[in-house]
Amino acid sequence: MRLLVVDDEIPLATAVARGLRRAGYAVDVCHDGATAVERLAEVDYDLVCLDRTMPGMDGLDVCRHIRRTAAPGPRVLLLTARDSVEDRVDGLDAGADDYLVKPFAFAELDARIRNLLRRDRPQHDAVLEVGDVRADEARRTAFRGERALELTTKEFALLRYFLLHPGEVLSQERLLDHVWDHAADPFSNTVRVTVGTLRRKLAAGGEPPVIETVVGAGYRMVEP
Amino acid sequence: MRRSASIRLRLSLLYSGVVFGLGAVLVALVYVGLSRSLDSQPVTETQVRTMEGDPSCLQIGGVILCERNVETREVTVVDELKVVEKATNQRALERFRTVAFGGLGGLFVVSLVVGWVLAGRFLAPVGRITGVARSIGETDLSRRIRLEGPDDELKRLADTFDAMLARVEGAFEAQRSFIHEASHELRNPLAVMRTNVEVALADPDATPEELRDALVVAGRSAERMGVLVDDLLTYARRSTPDDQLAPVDLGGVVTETVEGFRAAATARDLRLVAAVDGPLPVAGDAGRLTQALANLVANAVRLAPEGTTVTVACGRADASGAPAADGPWAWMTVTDEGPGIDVGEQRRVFERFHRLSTGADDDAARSGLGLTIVRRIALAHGGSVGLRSTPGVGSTFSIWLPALHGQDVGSPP
Repeated sequence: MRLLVVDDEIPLATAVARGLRRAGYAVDVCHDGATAVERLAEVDYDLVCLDRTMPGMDGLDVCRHIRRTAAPGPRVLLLTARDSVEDRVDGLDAGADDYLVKPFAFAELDARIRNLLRRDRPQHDAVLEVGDVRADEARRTAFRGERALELTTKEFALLRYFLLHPGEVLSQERLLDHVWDHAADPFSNTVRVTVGTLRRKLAAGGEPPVIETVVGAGYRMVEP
Repeated sequence: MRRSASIRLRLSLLYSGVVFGLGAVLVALVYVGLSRSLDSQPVTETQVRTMEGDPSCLQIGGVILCERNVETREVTVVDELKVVEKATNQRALERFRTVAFGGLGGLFVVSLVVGWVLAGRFLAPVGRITGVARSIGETDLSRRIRLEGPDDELKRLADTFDAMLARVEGAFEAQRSFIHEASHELRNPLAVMRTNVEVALADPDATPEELRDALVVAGRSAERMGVLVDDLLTYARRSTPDDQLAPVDLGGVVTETVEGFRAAATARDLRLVAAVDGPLPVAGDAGRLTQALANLVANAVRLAPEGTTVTVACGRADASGAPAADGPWAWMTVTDEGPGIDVGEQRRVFERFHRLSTGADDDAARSGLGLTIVRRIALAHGGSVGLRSTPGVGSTFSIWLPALHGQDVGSPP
């Protein structure tokens, strides 16, 4: 899951990004509306965490831009210090999916982001499941059958992305776009290496493999 | 309504009392006058007997002679016409008394009723004013009395009351929006603190450096909230200097302020020049005028490009703004040599919480109240603020104040 955090309050954006990275998201940060629009044109983000009041192009403008240019486009969560009913209505009318008033508890931000990201899938709780592979997003734990998996943040994020798209062929580029952030080197073999270690951990108990390689196209999660 | 009813009762009692008293005096005067001028006497028994043809009486023409007392041979002369006249007068006076007392009684009752009704009609608007005033709570200041009717004392009272309500409502609204804005401004640094602390604490693997970074960020946010709260208090404090208005020399204010910023200017390699030409008295609060000028100088010293000159000057001008040694206006200006302010931004710089994005590192650490405070202080002194700026060339911020001993100054140039 690739997220964009946009806030002109640099120390806030940095802290939010750090917390979200720890929660297993690939996070990019920018500090004004114009840069946000540029990033949105380059990368297919899953969710944008948008500050409402910024100098120049503000959060509402960016939100309207997103809704005009991309369908369905990323989920938009507005962060704002303004909490009157009119402000909320304006925000939601501009196309925001959710609205969170500053100062917020980070745990709530995290929960709302999880909630927004699982709206597309039929199963509406924090547990993702394909076959005997399970991942609990809220607790950040993963299981193969009864066996707990010791995963790094990046491996967990990768597993979650596979679990969200079972049966689909996911190219290296797509995985890089959605699981890694701006800082990742697109020419390194980091995707291949991480998929390799995840695959090894998933089969460490001698179970059948669940991630198969589709030659020349990418990877696919299958029910064994 | 009790108060209004009691005034109504008092008014009607007073009214009927006056009417009744005047009536009584009139009746008494008429009665006394009549009884003085009329010769009245009741008919005596002797006269009756006499006139009824007592055999011992002798009638000659209209006069009757009677021997009333046989022993003393007293002779009574009865003038029949006189007796009748006197008796008639007597009756008329008695009749008058009865009618007058009855009439007075009736007058009292009628005047009481009329007084009650009239007082009620006159006091009705007062009841209306009371009702509206009572129904106005803190949240419903939009109600007005809007009294209809002729332009009399009560209408003027109601109109004055309405005007006062409008002022109260305006002040209340201004205060509410100020609190609204101020709380938003306080939320940002709070959000920074809270998120940094929470994210750092939630990470069991956080290194001491990462924890230290979070603390530094939280500390800076606390500092920024401190600045904001200080400025909010300055802003909110009653800025009417009426009670401490004293002659202030603006030349002294300029010199003092410039000296205060000397070190900060030197650190940024700026030339800070005070252009003062003799004493310049205004009536004001020295502390607050110094603060207003200091806010302007602080901005210039913070933002002017290194190596340039910041000039702080003061002088007098006539109503058109042209320099005049005995003009009614005194001014202080702060002129820098860049970077200047966009035309679109110029109108908004004095607005509350409006921050120019200057690209300076400490943008976020400012309250957005500095220039608003300057304007508020100038307005409280009966003056105004001005800004002339050309992007890329420089800006001149000015504070205009009525000069001391100036004649009627009119509006600032």
